[in-house]
Parts: sequence; C-alpha cells; structure tokens
Amino acid sequence: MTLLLLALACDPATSKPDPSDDTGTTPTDGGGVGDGGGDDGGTETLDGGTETVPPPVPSLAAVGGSLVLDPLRGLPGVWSAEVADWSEGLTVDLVLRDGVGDSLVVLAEDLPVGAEARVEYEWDLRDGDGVALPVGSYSLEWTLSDPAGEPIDLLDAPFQVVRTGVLTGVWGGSGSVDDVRVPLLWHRASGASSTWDDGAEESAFQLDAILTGEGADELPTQVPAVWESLRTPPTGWTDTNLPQGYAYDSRPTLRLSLGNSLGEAASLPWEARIDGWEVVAGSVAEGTISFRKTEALAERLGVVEGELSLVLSVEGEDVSTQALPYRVYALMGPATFSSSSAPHLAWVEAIDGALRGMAEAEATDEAVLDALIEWIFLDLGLRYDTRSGASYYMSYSGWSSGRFSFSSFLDRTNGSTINCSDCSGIAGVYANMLGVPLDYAIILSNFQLNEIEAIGVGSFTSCPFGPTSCGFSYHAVTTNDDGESIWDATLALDGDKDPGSEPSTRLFVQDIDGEEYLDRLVRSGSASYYYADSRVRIR
Amino acid sequence: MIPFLLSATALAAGLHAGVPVRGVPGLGEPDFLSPELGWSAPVLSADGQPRGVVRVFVGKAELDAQLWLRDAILGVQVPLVPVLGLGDQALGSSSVVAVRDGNVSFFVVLHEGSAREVGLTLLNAIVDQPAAWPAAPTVQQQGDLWMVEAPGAAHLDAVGGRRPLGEAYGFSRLPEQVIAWDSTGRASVWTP
Repeated sequence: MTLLLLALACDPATSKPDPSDDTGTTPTDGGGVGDGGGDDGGTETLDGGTETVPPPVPSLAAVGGSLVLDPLRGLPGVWSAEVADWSEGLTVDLVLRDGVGDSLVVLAEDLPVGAEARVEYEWDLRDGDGVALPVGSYSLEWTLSDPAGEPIDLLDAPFQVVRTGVLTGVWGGSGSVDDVRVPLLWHRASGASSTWDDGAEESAFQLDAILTGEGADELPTQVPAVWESLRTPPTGWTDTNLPQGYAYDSRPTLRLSLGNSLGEAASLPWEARIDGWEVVAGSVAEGTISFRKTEALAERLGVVEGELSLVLSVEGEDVSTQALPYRVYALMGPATFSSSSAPHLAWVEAIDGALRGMAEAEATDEAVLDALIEWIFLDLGLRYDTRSGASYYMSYSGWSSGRFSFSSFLDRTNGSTINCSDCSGIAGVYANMLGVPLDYAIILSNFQLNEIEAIGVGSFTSCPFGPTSCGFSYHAVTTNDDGESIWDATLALDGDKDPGSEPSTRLFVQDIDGEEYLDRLVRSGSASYYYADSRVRIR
Repeated sequence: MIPFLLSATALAAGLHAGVPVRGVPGLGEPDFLSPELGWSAPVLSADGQPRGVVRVFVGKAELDAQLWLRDAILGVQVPLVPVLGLGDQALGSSSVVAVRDGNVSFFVVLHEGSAREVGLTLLNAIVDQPAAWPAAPTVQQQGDLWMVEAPGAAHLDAVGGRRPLGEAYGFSRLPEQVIAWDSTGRASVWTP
C-alpha cells in the first residue's frame, strides 16, 4: 500500500466530550496542576499584599488525524494532539470508542507529552490478534492527565473505517473515435473452437469480492497480474486480467465498478483518481467510475504495460490505493484481414512477439512493413528450402486463396524451413494483425534469377537449388498497392548496379518499386505480377 | 498445368475413408486446416524433431482429390516430375511428393530425408472404414447460449462467433461455421 495518510492539523469535528462522560474527567475539576499549594509566583494587590495568580492549566488545544481509514488498502491511521500551556509531566491516554460512545479498547496509557507539546499516535487499526476494525463510525478519545495522573482535559477525534476495492475493469466502450479497442485472440483454446477472442468487449478482470477471508485472515483482493499465456486463454475469471489491444493513438477508457463498503462514510465527498487519466463518468457514490487517458496511448507501435494506481480520497486525504496491472498492445488499428471474424484477428502471441522483436518504427504503414521485413529476415531463425523451394505452412486453393497455418508456424511444428509462399504468408499475417493492410502477389512464371540472398542462407547465389536449378517456377511477394510497391522477406536482392553478378550488395526488399524489383530479381524469362490483391487467410 | 501421371497401384481404387489423423508412424500431432485444405501433420525424425510436413485431404469424390492435388503443388518453386508407383497419380522431387489415390490426396515436403518413403507410409495407412461420411455437428440454443455437439469427433473447430470466457461448447454469438473432423480426416460442416 502506498497510501499516505496525513494527520489533520485540526478537525472541526473534534469535540469536547460531556463532562458527565463515564471517564469522569473534566478539564477543571480542581484536582489538577496549579490548584494552589505551591509558590507559583503572584502579583501585588492594592493593599500592598501579594495575590497568588494560578498558572494556566494545560489543555488539549487540538486533536487531529485521519478522518476515513481503510485498514486493508490504506496507510495506518495517524492522530496527533497539541497541548496548550504545556508543563512537565503531562501524559495522555487513548481510548477507542464506537459510534455510540461505548469504550472498545484502551489503545495507550500514560504517553508522555514532551516539550514540543505535541503527541502523535499511529495505529494500523488492528487489535492484538491482527483483526482489522470493521466498517463503522469510531472516535479516538484523548485524555490529558497531570503529573499526578489526574485527568485535566479530554477531546474526541471521530473517524470512519471503510473497505474499498474494485470488482471489475472494462477497457473501451466510450464510443469515441479515438478510443479504438482492438479484439485480441488466443489460438490454443479448447472446446468447440481452437481459438478464443475477447471481442473487444470482454472485461479485463472480474473479481468475486473486494476482500477474502475473515478476522485476522481478512485480506484485500488484488487485481491479478496480466494473464501470462500468449496462446492459451484463461478458463475463467479467477486470476485473470486480460491484456488489451488498442490503436496506438487512442485515448482508452477504463470503466471500473467498485465494491466499496463505506458505512456512514458513504455520504462524504469521495473522489477517485488515476494519474494521467481523468474521470469522465460515474463516481464513487454511484459505484462505477469511467476514466479516460488524458493523452494518446503511445506515439508509435509497441507494448505499453505497468500498473495504474487507483486512489480513493475524501476531502483531499487519500484513503486507499489499489494497483491495477495492465498490458496494452499499441497497434495501428484492428486487424486488416478480409474477414473480421476469428481467427482473422490480432493473435496475442503474434503481436506480442512482433512488437517486442521489431525495431521501433514510425507509426506509418510503410515504416512498420519495413521493420517487419527486416525482423522476419534476420531474427526469426528461418531458412529457405534450398531442396525444392516448397511451402511448409502455406496452402493454396488457387493462387488467390492462400491459407497460412499460423498456429503451426508459431510453434515451428513443421520446422524452420520455408519458401516464398510461407514468407509472404508470415509477412502478411503479422502485418494485418498489427493493423497494416498487406496483400500478396504471385510472380509468374518460370524465370531465371539474378543474384539473391535467400533467407537464412547467408550468401548470394543465382542458383538457390544447386548449379543446375537457377530459377523459380513462381515467386510470392507482398504489396499494399497491387504490385506498385514490394516488400519481400524471402530474399534480399543484389542492390548494386549489376544485380546479375558478384560482388553483391544486400538490399532488403522494403518498399521497392515493383518494376525495379523484377529488374533486380529476374535474369531472364517472363515475369509479371498476378493476383496482387490477394490477402492471406489463416487458421 | 502440369500433367499428372496415372499409375497403377496395389491399393484399391475408389472411395477411401481417409488416413488416420493419429497413429501413422513418423507423424506428429495433426493440425486441422479447413474442409477445403484438409489436415496436416509434421514429419518427425527419430529424435522427434520436425523434418517436414504432410498435408492430407479426403474428398467425397475422386474429382475433389484431383482438384486438391492440382492446388497442393502450387507452392513449390522447382518443377516437379511424374513419379511412378505411388497411388493413382503422383508428382514429385527428392524432397516433395504429391499423391492421389482414389478420393485421398496428400502432399509431402521434407527438408531432410526421402519424401517418397513418407508417401509410401501414407499410402499404406489409407483405410476404407468407416465408410460413412461423418454427420455434421449440431448447434442448439440452450438458454443464452448456442451449444455445439459433435459426438465422436476427433477435432472440433469454429469460424467466427463468440464464446464467453471459460465456456467450452457454448456460443453467445453464433459462429459462421462449425467443423467436425473424424478420426480419418474427413470434415463435416455446420452452417447457420
């Protein structure tokens, strides 16, 4: 808990108890210090005699402290008393009383009042068995006593004990154009479908209660850490806190429902805050609060994660603090496949890997695709199939209908050997999951090659299948404009003036003009783009 | 289009039930692609490492398998040649083989070892029973959910729809397709 409870300097609600109170003490009951008997000094009278002026009687000038306390989520209660007309030997006693004034427990006796004329008392609101005070109204009664132990003054500091906490958290749903939540999908589900998605509407977390246990075992329920598995969805809400997907420039909304138990403190002016967020709807009193981020989620694509700190306060005094762990994937937008149904959504394992693995890129389609191509080519441990140039993960039902076995690919179920169809599928799947539209195109057919560096091979050749096989029957690439611009993760071209012979200079295929791409790739034969608006499907 | 070589086979021509999706020597766990594409499984080396993949399709008629085979070889960048002695039709190279036998077609690609050997294993694994094509799954409304049932299915999958968290077989929003696969790789589809 990080809640800081500040002692109030002076609480207007602090009250002098009725002198007939069962403690039987009054500030001026005649038994206190200075009631005669000593040479206390004096002043001269008109008749020349000396009249003794009694010294001022010490008193409790002010008693202040915490007004509302949550013993499970707040800091300990802190109270203080200031003594006027201090003298040596003063002490205070502290008694806890319930809402109707009955004494519950003596918290402290004979606390010395030092020369600073101030006493501070801190209490975690737990008894000797560790049981926290139940919700209700209480007061802390301060009794000031003289050196002889006789009470000379008494003040009460009323306070409220509450329980606070959130029950559910839901991201999104404001309807604002800049609050674009993106559905996320887990691809290793069980039951009637191998996938499960949040539909961009599911809660992040749903807690049964704000507390668990009773008595000394009473504990505040914590919002769980973000769900760790990138592939398997939770099977229920226990220990579940789902990550979220968002367009990177969104200002997300987070709607929290509260399970507070406030007692009489419910009528107090409660406030809720999360740094960097503003309350846009609801209130503590209503039990539901919607926060909205004051600035955009991110300036570029990435993973935004951490803990939000929800603080509830009354009249500027923080009562409780609760950590809300979160992870948000900042994407270009919703997945851009031809279908918007599962499994054609953003897969958590895919976007997590890509966003953490890719070089940070400007938030433009072209910059993201450039970074993606380099990441696939250099970092995924893939190797071109130099035996046959055959596909291990892509299947076609006709050239325009390619389906990529992405769940198998993520596991490398069929190994790390791939061909151009696989690479176009990999690039297409990742791009469209990140919210960047990308199609594939087929270059046909049967052409001879200039120098290329196939993925994972590490050297240039014009005969990737051996000295007697120096061409492709086809080649698959990716494009976002019907072949005008090409991205290709399968191979790097020879980027120098003579792409047909060594030495060769590696040129990643990142936003290369379609005609230039063919010029650098093809040594001889007919090669043209076909099916250039085909978007990969997945399973 | 590459011509296919029709070759004789010791295996019976005609309609087969398919290839067992589990239990074929050398193959790993199946991945069910789609009714149009069939299923796949990794080809494993002796130490369990993947050395390639097989894709298998069972059609309701021979023509379905012929069309599947035509598409299966699209994704190969080197020319394939006819292969003798494998099923009714076969094409391939040292690392690739595409075979049809009756209404069953399969495609093998390996980055290590002989594709022909795996092809022979698959041909020998073809079974003719159970002959009846499996029934489509059913979807019935129960309360707020649409419940999917597919007794005896080896694998169940859905396209689209929404399931509440933790709900295994109930959909709060109807899927576009529910696909049940039987133990020999035949797919039956429910659509709304």
